[in-house]
Amino acid sequence: MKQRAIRIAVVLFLSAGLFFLLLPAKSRILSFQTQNQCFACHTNARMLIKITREIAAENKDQPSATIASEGEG
Amino acid sequence: MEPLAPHEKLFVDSEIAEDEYHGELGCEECHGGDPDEPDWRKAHAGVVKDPSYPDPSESCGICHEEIAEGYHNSLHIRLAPFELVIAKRTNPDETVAASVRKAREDHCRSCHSGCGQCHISRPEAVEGGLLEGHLFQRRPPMQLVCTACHGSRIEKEYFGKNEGLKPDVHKEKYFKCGKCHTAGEMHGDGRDYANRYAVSNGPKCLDCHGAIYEPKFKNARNHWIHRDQISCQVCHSQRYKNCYACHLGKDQQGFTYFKTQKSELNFKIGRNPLRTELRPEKFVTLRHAPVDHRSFDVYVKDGLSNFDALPTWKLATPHNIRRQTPQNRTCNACHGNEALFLLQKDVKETYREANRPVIVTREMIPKKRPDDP
Repeated sequence: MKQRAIRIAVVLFLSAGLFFLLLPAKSRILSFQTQNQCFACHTNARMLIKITREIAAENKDQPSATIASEGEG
Repeated sequence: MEPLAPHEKLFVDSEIAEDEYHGELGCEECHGGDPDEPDWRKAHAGVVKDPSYPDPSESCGICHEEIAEGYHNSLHIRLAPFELVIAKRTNPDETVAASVRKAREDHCRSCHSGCGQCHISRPEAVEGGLLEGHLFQRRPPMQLVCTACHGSRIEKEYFGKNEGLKPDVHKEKYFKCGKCHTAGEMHGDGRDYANRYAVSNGPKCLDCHGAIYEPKFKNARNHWIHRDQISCQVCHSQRYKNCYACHLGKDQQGFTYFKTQKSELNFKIGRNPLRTELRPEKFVTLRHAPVDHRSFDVYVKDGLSNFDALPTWKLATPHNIRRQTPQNRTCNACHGNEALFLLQKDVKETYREANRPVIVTREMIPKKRPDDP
C-alpha cells in the first residue's frame, strides 16, 4: 500500500515536471500579448499600419530626409 | 537598398517570446516606456529606440559584458579614422577647427553602428527597421547590414555589380563578410586603433592562403619574389571604385547632404602610405578618398588648411579578388606597364603635394622582362 502511494507520488511529480518543461511557448506568447501593451501592438501588423499611417498623416508636410545628396557616398 | 515600409520597421515577431534569453526580458527593460499603458502615445514617453548606442552597458552589456568592454574603441562606434584623418588636415586655428569638428559630427557620425544596428535592426544610416521582427541575429545578414553601409565600394566589388567586372572569388565560394571579418574584429578588443589596417585581429589573406610560399605550391616562386614587396591585391584585385571631391551641406530643412564630383573605376598601384609590420609591402593598391580642400566650406572657409598633410590616395584592399587578373596574366602585364601605377600625371595638380608620398616615379616601375611574352 505504502509502495503504491510512493509510486503514484513519483508519477505525479514527474508528470508535473514534464508539464512545466514542455509548457507550450504559445501560452507564454498569449500571456505577453494580454499583459504587455508593447508586445500586443508591435506584433499586430494591422495595428502598426493604422498607427504609422496616423503618424505619417500628422507629419505629411515634414520631409523625413534630404533629396539633395548626389553621387556615391 | 529599398527602405522598409514604416510598419515593417517596427513589426515584432511574437516568436521572440520563445527566445530563452532575450524573451525573458520585458520590452521596457531595454527600451523604457510604459508597457501597461494602452495609449501608444503615452506608452512611448521616454522610449529609447536603440538602447545599445551610445552606451550598451545597461542593455546588451549586462549579459555580454566582455563584448561591451571593447565597444567604445570599436571602429564602428568610435570612427577613429574619420576623427584622426580630418584632424590632421584641419586648420590649427581653434575657432576654425571647432567648426570642422561640428561638420564632422553632423555628417560623419551618422555612419556608426552599435550592437543593435547589426544584430537587431538595419543600420540607421539606411533608415533602420527591425531585422526578422526583432529576433536577435547572431550573425548579421550581410546584405541588410554590412553592405547596406559599405555599399558603393565593397558591395559592388564583392558582388560583381561594377560593369564588366567579375565578383570576388570568395563570393563565388559563398563567403559572407563574417568569414574573414570575425566578431572579435568587429566588436573591438579595447585597443584604440587608428584605422582598420592596424587592427590586430583583422583579416589577413595568409590566414587561409599560407601555403602559397610552400615549395610544392604551383606559384610559390612568384609569391616569394614579390613577398613584402607588393600587397596581394596588386596582383589579385580588379579595377575598383574611386570617388572625388565630396562637398557637404545642409538643405533648407536642415538635413545634411553630400555631393561627390565624380566616381570612376580604375586601378592604381602606389607606394604604401601605411607601411607597418602588419603591412610591410612597398607597393599597394590605392583608392582615392572623396576628400577635397573645400569639403567643409559650407561650415567654415579654409577648414582643411593642412590638406597636404595626408595623401588623398589611400591604402586599399578592394573586395574583388580573382586568381587571374589582367595585371598578373604575364610578368610584363605589370612590369613596365605605366598605366597601372599612380604617376604624377594621374594626380590633379591641386592634390599633388598631398600625394607626393604615394606617387610612383617612372624609375620605381619594374622594368619589362625580356624573357617574358
